[in-house]
Amino acid sequence: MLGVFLSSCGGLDGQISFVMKSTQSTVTPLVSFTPSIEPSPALTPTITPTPTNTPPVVFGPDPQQIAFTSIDGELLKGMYYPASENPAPVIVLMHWARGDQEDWSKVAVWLQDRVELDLTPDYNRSWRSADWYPENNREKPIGVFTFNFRDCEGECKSYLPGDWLLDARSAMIAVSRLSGVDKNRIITAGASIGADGAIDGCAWFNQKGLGTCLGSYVLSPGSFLTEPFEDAVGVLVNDVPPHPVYCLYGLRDDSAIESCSEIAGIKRFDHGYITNHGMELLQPLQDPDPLTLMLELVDEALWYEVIEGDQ
Amino acid sequence: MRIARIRNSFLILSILFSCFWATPVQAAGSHDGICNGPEDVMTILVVGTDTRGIGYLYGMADTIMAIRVDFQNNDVAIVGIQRGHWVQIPDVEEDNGRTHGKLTQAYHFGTEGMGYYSGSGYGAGLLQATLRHNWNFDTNHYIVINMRMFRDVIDAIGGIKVYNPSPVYSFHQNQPKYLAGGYFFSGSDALFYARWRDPRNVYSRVDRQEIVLKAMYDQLFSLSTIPKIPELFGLYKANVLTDLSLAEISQLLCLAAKTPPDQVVFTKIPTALLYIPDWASSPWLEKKPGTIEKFLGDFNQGIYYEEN
Repeated sequence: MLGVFLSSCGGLDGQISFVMKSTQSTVTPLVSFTPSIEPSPALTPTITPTPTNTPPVVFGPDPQQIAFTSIDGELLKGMYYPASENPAPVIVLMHWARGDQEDWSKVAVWLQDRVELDLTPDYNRSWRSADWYPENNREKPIGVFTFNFRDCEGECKSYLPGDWLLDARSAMIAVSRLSGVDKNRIITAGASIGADGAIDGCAWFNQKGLGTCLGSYVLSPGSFLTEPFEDAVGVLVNDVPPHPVYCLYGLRDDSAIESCSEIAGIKRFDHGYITNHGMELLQPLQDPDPLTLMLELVDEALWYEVIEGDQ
Repeated sequence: MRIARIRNSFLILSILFSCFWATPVQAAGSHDGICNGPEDVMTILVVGTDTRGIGYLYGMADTIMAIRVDFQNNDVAIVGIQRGHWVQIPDVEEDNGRTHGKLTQAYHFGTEGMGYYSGSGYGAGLLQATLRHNWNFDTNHYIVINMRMFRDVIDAIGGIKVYNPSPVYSFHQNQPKYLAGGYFFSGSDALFYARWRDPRNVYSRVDRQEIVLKAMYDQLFSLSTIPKIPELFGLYKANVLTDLSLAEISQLLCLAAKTPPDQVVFTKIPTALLYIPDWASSPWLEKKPGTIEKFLGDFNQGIYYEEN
């Protein structure tokens, strides 16, 4: 049956529905496609501008809960962090099996350089402890999107790799339809099962001609979602122009080591904490710093912005 | 004869901890089945070796099974093949022209350390060739797991709960080694239980291995272990020999998670087909030529039998 779903993925227009709510509201599923996202009326400053010589810092609208249906009809929950300008590129962050989209929440806020980044340390989960995050000096606006794989609120309660593959692809469609998102400037990132979702979703999105995914940043992939990781990487790095793929792994994580090694053109980064996997790779005191690498991937994927900025 | 529907776990054990080692990476087949599995039926030779250390340089085949996986029809079956069968071992290139031995020795001669076999897959490769030569039984993939790996995996998933259905005896004691009842086993305990030779029932070893594997299945897909599966996959797979690709392993794991355990067939070469001497370590012989080939041929066609 899965094969039937996959083979029918060519014409997906209209099969994905979603609804957007503010974070203060309850997510309500809709049964049909509802492009209900209002254009950001005006930028909503969250700090009081002060007269300085530098331009005032401007942030996008508040994060908003998103509900969308997957290719096979499963209702999924996501969170959209709109950029301060439209249209803007967006980065889709996919979680691992030991957590859910909340594991990316601090990184999402940090990626946008929002002032509300909570620096309270979480001593058990370095990836949710923003006190060590590097400074984000990117000045270009970028949106962020996260979502939960099915049956994974809190952490995954069933092992559904074939279904999670569909979820990753569905998320790509959903995010490409969000207001303010430039569907030709999408980047993906993910950890563990999310790493394979990020790579596959990115390659699949391009192959289907639904838009352009410009690159991917992955932590501990392993072909976990039933599709060969190397095939999807090949689609990205062999494209013209090639799209960058950064692959991070722990030194005893054999599936990740193999995956990261299998294709020319991929950029590999091993990790000092040898047994760490997935989100655990986001640790302080690493060289190179894993989040600095994420910013570099974003810059490399959006290379034309850098060139424009230089001109 | 009737079809047996029994819970599986060896499939999970096999697919979770596989790696590439001495075998080129292969892309997964066409993706038309459940979990993006291949169109063709996959038959995987599974070998548990008796080596306790790291690696697979030497070793005998302690446990031999084949898993038949049909992604199109969501059909999974496992057949246990006793290690003591006396067989012709083809392609042995040394050892003074040896041509016959126990099935377990076919694996041993092919190991990298012994070096008697120049085909691919080392011991598993020669064992595959032996199964094909004697019984026309084809397997198209292999997985080899040593005892250290088996123990570590069970410890990593937090131990297993098993129910021992009947007393298990020892050579030197009148009292049973294991009474009938429930046990909680660490990796070492489970290994000991699965490998124990009961002098009163030499055939029960295969049954106890099945019990352990079912318990592993239950524990692996328990709520506490599911989120850790990808991590375990990465940490342990280098200690397993296989020619399965990462994607194929994921497809198998996906299918295992989707398959209700009671839909998995577990069978074994029936004792009725065998001549088993009283001497415990003597080789086992086929009573009537052709019967094992017929049994395994039917297995590969999706026809499964259980002993009456």
